[in-house]
Amino acid sequence: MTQYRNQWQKLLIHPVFPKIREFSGAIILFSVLLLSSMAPVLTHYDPVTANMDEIYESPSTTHPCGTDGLGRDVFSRLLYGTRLTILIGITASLLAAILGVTVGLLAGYYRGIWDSILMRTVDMWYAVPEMMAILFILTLYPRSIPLIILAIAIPHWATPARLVRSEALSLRQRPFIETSIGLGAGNLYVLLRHMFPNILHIAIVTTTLMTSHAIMHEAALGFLGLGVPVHEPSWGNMLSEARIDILLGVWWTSFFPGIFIVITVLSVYQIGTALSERFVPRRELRAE
Amino acid sequence: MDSSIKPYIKKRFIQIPFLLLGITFLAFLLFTLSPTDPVVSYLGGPSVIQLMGPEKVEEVRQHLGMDQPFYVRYGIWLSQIIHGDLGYSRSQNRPVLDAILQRLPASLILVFFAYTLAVLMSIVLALSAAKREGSFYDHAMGAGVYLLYSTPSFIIALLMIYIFTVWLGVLPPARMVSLNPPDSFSGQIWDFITHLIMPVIALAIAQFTVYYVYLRSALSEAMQQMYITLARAKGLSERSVLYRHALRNSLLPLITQIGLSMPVIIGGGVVVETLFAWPGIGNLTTQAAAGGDQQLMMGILLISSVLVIIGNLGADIAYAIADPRIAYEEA
Repeated sequence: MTQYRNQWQKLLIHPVFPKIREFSGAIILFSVLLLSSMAPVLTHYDPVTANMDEIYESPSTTHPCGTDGLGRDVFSRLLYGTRLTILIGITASLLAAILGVTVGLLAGYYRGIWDSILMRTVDMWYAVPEMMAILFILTLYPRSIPLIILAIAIPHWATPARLVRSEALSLRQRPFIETSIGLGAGNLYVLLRHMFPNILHIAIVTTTLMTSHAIMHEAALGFLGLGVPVHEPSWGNMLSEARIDILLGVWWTSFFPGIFIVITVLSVYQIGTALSERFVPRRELRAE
Repeated sequence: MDSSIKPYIKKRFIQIPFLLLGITFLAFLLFTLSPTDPVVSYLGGPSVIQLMGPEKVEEVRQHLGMDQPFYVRYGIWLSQIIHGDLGYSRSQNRPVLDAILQRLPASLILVFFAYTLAVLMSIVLALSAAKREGSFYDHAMGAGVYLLYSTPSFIIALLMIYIFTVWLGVLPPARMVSLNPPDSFSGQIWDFITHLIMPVIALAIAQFTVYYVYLRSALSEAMQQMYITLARAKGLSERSVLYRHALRNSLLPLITQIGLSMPVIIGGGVVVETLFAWPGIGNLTTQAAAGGDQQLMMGILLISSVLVIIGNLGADIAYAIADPRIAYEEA
């Protein structure tokens, strides 16, 4: 099996952007979060209530981003939708990271049969398209927000598991681990005290990068009409009706959520890139 | 073909059944954990169950072997799959395999053109940027690709629909052919092409960004190698150095990347095909998920995994042929 398949890894060694960007991602993401947390102050429109008198109003001073087909204020829905979308994105990637890091750490530490089983499972996992796996899980169980988080998290565990495992394998050979074991330290102690802190940088970087993936997946699910319940404002849900809107010449219902998604994904992704440049030497990434 | 490659390919072939076995097992495990009773959904929902009465339902359950323990049910199901029976799709009202095979060609057409476009675009643009290394153009291309990478395909698709359908009115927004296709053959071909353009671009963009970044950094790495210095010292033109030496060596790893992006492109097809009402597997997947059609979803999962495995295998073999060192190392 070939060495890696995740696209972001190659993007990490991006030659193009100069150093200015170190904190740009964090600043943009912070502003997006600030906007959404100040939603009740910034807009007095309810994101859920329909208003049939104001259907498809183009952007104006009263409705800065216009209104949608049910007369709901797009700006207000955007701000409230940020909460749900980012919550799903972060929870899903944390869940995937916890699962992947645990499995990868154990496999790299205990080696042998457990390691083989893990690597074969990872190979299998890589043969299943992520989107198909997510939709498969969504089809099997009654739909709810926790299930959506789980469905987005499950297909993503393999990448952190593989990265952590290869790091843990080489750590396991290092003298300080051998010494610690030789001095009689228990497995759990070595794992938590010595192994975990030394793979933490990989965990942080992959979790950040997975978050941007997870946000895109939430948007895609919502877009297909298979995401969070229809009445909840989320970026994906806002876009699900946008296809009809756009054929009517209504561009603002898809344009503003689109801009928000791109900006957020870009900034989260940017944070991941900046973190990885801080934490992970280039050599290791190239070797993978 | 070099004889040393054969054992490597053989080894890769042997892995396939095991991979598939593992995938079917995992999928069946998830399937069994579902709270939906397969017998109930087989019979057509709770209302039918009430009409039949519990004894009849138990009879059906025994007939289907659903009262057996997990591993027996898995065995029964697996033998059905091996015999080409993937179950019956309720939402499509036909066997699952039929439904998938009918949709497969449309998807393959889309994937083929999207791949071709993504690879061509990345080669042309990466070369043009590499020629002007460090220039404003190079940086602008990098920034543009970075931006595109963070843009979901459906946003690009919506943008294209707005420009080409709503605004300019030149391209149709949905389906594979018009409802009233023109009579002449050339007219039909043209009709098909106009329907093809937007979905292909939407699907290709995401792959293009990945290939571009990959190729761009491979090119700048290659340009620092000794053989490039030698080629220049021989007096070759810069053009020939770039095309004949740097590009050729940078294309090798791209082969692997193309094989590996198979699951991404199939997964991306779900959104793009649904958006453009393209009659392919992706569209079928959305219908299956929306209708809660578990049998169909299971079939799609397996068939798409088979496609990915074939794609990966093809890329690995192509790579081993193009670069025999790989086969020597791994065999």
